[in-house]
Amino acid sequence: MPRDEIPPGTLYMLILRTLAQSRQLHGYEIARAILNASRDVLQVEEGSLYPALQRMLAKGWVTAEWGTTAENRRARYYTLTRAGRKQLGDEVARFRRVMDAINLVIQPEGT
Amino acid sequence: MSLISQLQHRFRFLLRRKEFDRDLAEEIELHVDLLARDRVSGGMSPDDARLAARRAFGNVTRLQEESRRAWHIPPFDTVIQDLRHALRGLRRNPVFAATAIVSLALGIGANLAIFSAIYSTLLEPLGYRDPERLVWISGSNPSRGWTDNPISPAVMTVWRERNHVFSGIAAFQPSAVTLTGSGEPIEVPVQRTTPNVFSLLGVRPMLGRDFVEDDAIPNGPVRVVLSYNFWKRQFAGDASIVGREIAFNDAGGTVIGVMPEGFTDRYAAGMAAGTLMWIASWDPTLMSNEYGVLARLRPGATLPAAQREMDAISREIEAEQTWQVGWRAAIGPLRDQIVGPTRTTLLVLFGATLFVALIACTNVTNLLLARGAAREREMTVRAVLGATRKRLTRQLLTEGTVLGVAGGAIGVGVALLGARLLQVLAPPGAAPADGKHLIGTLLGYTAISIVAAVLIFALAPALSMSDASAKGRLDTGGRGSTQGTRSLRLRSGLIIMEFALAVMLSVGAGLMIRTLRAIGTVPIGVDAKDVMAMWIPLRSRQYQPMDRYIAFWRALMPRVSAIPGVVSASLTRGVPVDGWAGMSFVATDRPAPAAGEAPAANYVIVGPDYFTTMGIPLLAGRPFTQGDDESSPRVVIVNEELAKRIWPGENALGRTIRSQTSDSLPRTIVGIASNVRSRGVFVPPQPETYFPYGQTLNAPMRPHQLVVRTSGDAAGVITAIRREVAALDRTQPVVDVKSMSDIIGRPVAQQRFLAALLTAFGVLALTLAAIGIYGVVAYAVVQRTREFGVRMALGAQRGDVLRRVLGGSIRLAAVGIVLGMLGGLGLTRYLATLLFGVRSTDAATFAVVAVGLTLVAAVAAAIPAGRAARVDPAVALRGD
Repeated sequence: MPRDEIPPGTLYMLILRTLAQSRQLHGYEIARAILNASRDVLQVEEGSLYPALQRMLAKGWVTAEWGTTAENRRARYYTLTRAGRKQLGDEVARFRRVMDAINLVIQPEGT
Repeated sequence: MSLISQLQHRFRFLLRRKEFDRDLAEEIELHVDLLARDRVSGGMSPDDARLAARRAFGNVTRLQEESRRAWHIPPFDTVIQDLRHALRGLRRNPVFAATAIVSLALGIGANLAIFSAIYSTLLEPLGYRDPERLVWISGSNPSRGWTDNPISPAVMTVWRERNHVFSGIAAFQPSAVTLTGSGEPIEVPVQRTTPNVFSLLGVRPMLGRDFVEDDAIPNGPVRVVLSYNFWKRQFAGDASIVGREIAFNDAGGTVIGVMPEGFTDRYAAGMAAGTLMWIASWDPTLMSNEYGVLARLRPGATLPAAQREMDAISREIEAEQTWQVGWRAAIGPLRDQIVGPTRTTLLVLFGATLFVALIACTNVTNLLLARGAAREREMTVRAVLGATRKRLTRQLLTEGTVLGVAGGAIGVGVALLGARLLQVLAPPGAAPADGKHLIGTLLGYTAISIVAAVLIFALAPALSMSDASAKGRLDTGGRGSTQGTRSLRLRSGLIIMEFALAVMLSVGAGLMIRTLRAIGTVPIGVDAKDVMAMWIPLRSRQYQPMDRYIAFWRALMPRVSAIPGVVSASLTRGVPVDGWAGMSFVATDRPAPAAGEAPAANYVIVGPDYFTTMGIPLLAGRPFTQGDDESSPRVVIVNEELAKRIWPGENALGRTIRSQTSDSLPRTIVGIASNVRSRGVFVPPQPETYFPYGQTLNAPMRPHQLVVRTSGDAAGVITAIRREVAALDRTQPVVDVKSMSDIIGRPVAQQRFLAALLTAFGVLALTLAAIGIYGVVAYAVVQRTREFGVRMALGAQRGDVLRRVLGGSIRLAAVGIVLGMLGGLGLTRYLATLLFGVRSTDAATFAVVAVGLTLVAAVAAAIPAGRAARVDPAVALRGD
């Protein structure tokens, strides 16, 4: 199945949600989780993942900590913060609002 | 995340960029590996898998860039960018940067050094309670022209009883004691004071207790308070010293307290220096004027009201005591008394350093403008690429700030050096105090200086350079443009200002130099070369009786004269300039003067060789001999001035006078000495009376000083003298050894200091101005190379070109010089109190400065002008 780009403006929301569901993930795992959770539809651009993570770190929505993977490789694990959780709530609410509005517009006539 | 913690977070990032890059690279590596592993398990070869994985990441550099950018704080971003750019620019032009920074450092540093002196002497609050309520009371006799006299306890007691304006009056007498007891006897400067002196000032001892009334009873038990430094140095900071006896002058006293660190005798306004110990001692019946007096105004009392009341009391005293006729109490704020003559000196110097700093800033502006012309192309390109005027201005201001901060930082170093120099060279009272507590104020002042300097030198160039009108500039190569002309006009204006300031400084220096020379031509009346003076106080109880005292000197003098290297020696009470003691006298063959109008003369007790030692010629009669002692007729030697005043036109030899002292016998004048300016070079010669020490057993004063004329090896002679004194009595110190030249130079110290510094600043200003005009002319020549080429190709001679350039620059300097003259005429009046023998509008000084600076301008301009004249027309016309 062809994979679609992540719509602009929703990357943060997806990452936050992913981290909300699992305690600590590193970059690859986050991308993987989004792919799996979207049933293989949403492919995170590697080139935008890390800058986004940095921005989230700068804004304090996540914290990062170096740890080791199962194969004993050093990896940076990201955790959601309380501020991040709040941000997630805000973004989801906004997204739903926008989506409902779009749905109204593209609703086929007569249904 | 709050703004603060966000900023903190980002700051930490900024500091650890390398670490950040490494971490990110490692993260990406892991991700690549994992992606590759996925592909391999999907059937790709390991190599292909890796390639594919990397490709998935795309442009890694951009990734890193974007990740880094996540951390940037937007406004900071541009600032850091500007800073980096500025630093790079300075590194690429090291000569320009060095010149600018050094100029600024000199200007800011000199100004800061003088400011520190001003702060610690004029501005810093005195460490006393409500110091602006403290006043200084001195005696003045307006009809005789005497001012600033010390007071006697008898008079002060009357003041205390009758005044209603002071909540307290205290008095102190500077003195010294010989501390005995452990090892070498040492001379300790002390003050004998009324017991209320500390409570009047509002400072308590930090150990022990303050004085009480009983401590000061004459002939009662002696109580002393130590200064902090003395306590630390001499008694090792041992707190148990309180309550213990210490030995001085044979008798000694009990230590009852120690003053806190930092408490000094500054309130004594120069009457005392370096007081180490205070002794409570007060005899209200004493009539000798030897005390300094302080008072504290009652709340609500004003200075004029106090003066009026004291005038009334003075008139009452006049009526009651005839010896007080003509005397008044003069009251003034304590601070004014402390600061005194140094105020003018320091303020003048402050103005001078401001001028120097301005000139330095102006030079830096010129440098920036010169560089600006070279950067026109860069600025235009930036503007075309989208930089706003505000952005360009900000960038240029950042460059200026970097220069300013660098210059200011080095300036602090210059100021530290300068302050050290000041402490060594400056007359007492004008030097900055050693103050760690001043650091805050001084750093604050430095910051303000830097900001002011940057605004002055960087604003104009920044505004002019960022005026980015790109039209047509790129193709003319930025030469001959309106920008260049405007810049040139600005720079010319700055040159005018530099020369004006340099003129004013030079005029000030010139006036001070002439003052010094005028002072130098006034003869003190002694031949001070190779003459040393020292004190042998002989304070021990055994020397209290006058005959034992004199016996010591009689034994010492032959031994001193026998020292090889001693040409002649004498003991004396009072040397010129340093020891005036006025005593009234009457001439027996003249009518008795009215009360308060008896003439006064310097009371000097001397040995037979005094006049030869000091190089004072005897105009008539004979010097004293050993034969003038208690058993022979009473004699006296007077000076020309006294003879002229009392017996004008007649011969004074053989006449008799009588001093109004307890030793009231008439004395015959046996010699007339040449005049000596014993009150310093600024006071005309006063009457002097010299008495042979063999006939002064009942004199009111004692000769404490030894003067020697050496044949050159002063140090060796001093050591030998100490040996001879020790041979006679090991417990007596020889102190305060000075050369007569130093003593004579002391009243002139302010003028010397000011002359030296103003000259230095003048030279500095002149150098900077010369460099400035050189720069401007050189730049103009470069700008007009093509024009000169055309002129010469059309037939102009090299001489014409030279004359054109030189004429233009001299005209420029001339405008500045004229402005400086006008400014100087207005400002030199502030120097007036320090001038001597020359008026503040002295035409000769102004003329010399004008001519001199014009010459400097001509020479400075001639060098690039010469280069202009040597332009090869062909090259100039061809070149771009």
